[in-house]
Amino acid sequence: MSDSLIVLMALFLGLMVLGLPVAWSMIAAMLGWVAFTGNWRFLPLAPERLWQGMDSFVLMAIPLFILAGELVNAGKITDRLIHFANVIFGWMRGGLAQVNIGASILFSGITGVALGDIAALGRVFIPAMVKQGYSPAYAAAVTASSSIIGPMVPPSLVAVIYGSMTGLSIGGLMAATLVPGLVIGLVQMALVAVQARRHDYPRVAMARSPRIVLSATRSAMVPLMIPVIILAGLLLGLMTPTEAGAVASAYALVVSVVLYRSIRWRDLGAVFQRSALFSGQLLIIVGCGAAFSWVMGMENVPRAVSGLIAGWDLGYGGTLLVFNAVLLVLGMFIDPTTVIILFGPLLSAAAAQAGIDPMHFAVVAILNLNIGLLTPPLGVCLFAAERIAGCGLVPLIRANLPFLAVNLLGLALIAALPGLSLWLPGVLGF
Amino acid sequence: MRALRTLIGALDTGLRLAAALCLAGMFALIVAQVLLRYGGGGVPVFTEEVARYAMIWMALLATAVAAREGSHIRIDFVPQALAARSRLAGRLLEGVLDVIAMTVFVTLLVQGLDMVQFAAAQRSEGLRIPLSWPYAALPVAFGFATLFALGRLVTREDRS
Repeated sequence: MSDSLIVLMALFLGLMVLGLPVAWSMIAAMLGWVAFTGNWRFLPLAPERLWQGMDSFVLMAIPLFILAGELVNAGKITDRLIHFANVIFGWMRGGLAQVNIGASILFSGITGVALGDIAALGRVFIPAMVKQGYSPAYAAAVTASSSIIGPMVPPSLVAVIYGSMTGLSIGGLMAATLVPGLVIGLVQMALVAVQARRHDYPRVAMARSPRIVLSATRSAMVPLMIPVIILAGLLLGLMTPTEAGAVASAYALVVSVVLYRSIRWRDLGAVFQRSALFSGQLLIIVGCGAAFSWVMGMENVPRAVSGLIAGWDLGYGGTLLVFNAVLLVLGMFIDPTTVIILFGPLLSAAAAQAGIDPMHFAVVAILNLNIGLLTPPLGVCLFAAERIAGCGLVPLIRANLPFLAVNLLGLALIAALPGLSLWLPGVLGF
Repeated sequence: MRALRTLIGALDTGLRLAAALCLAGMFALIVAQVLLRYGGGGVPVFTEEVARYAMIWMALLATAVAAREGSHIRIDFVPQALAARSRLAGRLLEGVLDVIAMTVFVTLLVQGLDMVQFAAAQRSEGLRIPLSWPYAALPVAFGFATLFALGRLVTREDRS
């Protein structure tokens, strides 16, 4: 490691840990590097690289997917999905807990951001579950844990970001995350089934005549068309991911403003403002990340990392294990999208060099990082669910432990069996 | 001091609105692009380019807004733990971080202005507009961000 590289990394990591925003930590580290090496002629590259890093057609998918998600949330389209989930999953023992997970699978197909899932579903399910006799901590644990299915079941914003950062096909990534997303949903449902038997949790009592099932399905079809539009557009090659995001937003806009009238015209401005702000917070990291990776390139970091991994000689399984450990630790401290923007390209290339299929690695990384949302010290999903349930963080962490265990079990399965991730994209020709 | 706060509030509202309009414009352009492609007509060369520039303007203006409300993505573990121990130490750390952020903003503002000047003679590939127009988002956004960072520093001391 050269002295200038040490200065660069120490500044970047030090400032980030102290609480400087991630984006500014990268530029500040670059400035420190320029000053240390005396290469002042490189200073103009900071805004240039920042600009070029954001100047891409694929990246436009990020704000458009965010817009689609915000429109769905503001349009209260979720109510129909919850009713549908009640009909489909509520008959099981521990009905509401199962419905909570089932609704996450359906809902995640629409927003694909774990926190959005908690905000939309937690407010409905946590009070409802408490009323039926579940402990608030358990209700919060189910909600938080099932929310990480969101970024797995396509279409998901995280897959869009992963694809646009690494150059992998976004349609392919969405196909690859589908089966693993369902696996995670299944292991959680299995856990709830066991717990429901032991604690004798109630079923959801409601009539389930064929007519009711049919009408619930029909009303759920309208919101469920959103993932269908996106997936069909991408998998059949009709649209680019950017265009699919725009068409999905247009559909959500028409449905919520014209058809359901659940968003008033004058509230639309707030939806666009929120989407723009959230997009800006992500895109600025992409831009600053481009400037920072240019410096890392000057310091030969990518080559050093791949040389290091080749030197380990851990083989396929060992490398996968080490990468998983690294990702779990990163995910405990930094949110998934930021980790992917910062380290995705580097880790993806290194994994490919160790013989791991980049698509398989992407699925493992996305799941792994989202599990980090459920662990202290920075379990954002835990915090969000606790805020709704008001059960205290420690009881929630305890109630969440079995869920964490099955999620890790699911992760182990998905990491050990590449076929789970690679089968569907293979069939679809990605 | 109150005048400064009113000014910053007004700028904030304006920037949010402008960023939202950029997003709406970009959204409309991409939808139009799909409709035109499947509606039989040809796709004009400029939609993609203008949509891209609108996204960058949106992202950078939103960046300035986020700098004002302190909502940029960061690890707030240390600041929160420190503030819980001692409010003064927490405030001191936030002040130092604001100064570092402001250094970044000023650098990007100055270098961005250079970039705009340099690009005035170049033209974009699609619409043939001067490249200084899209590039201007950099100095504009980081100019506002600098002002906001300054405002945060000043008004914070004002409160104590």
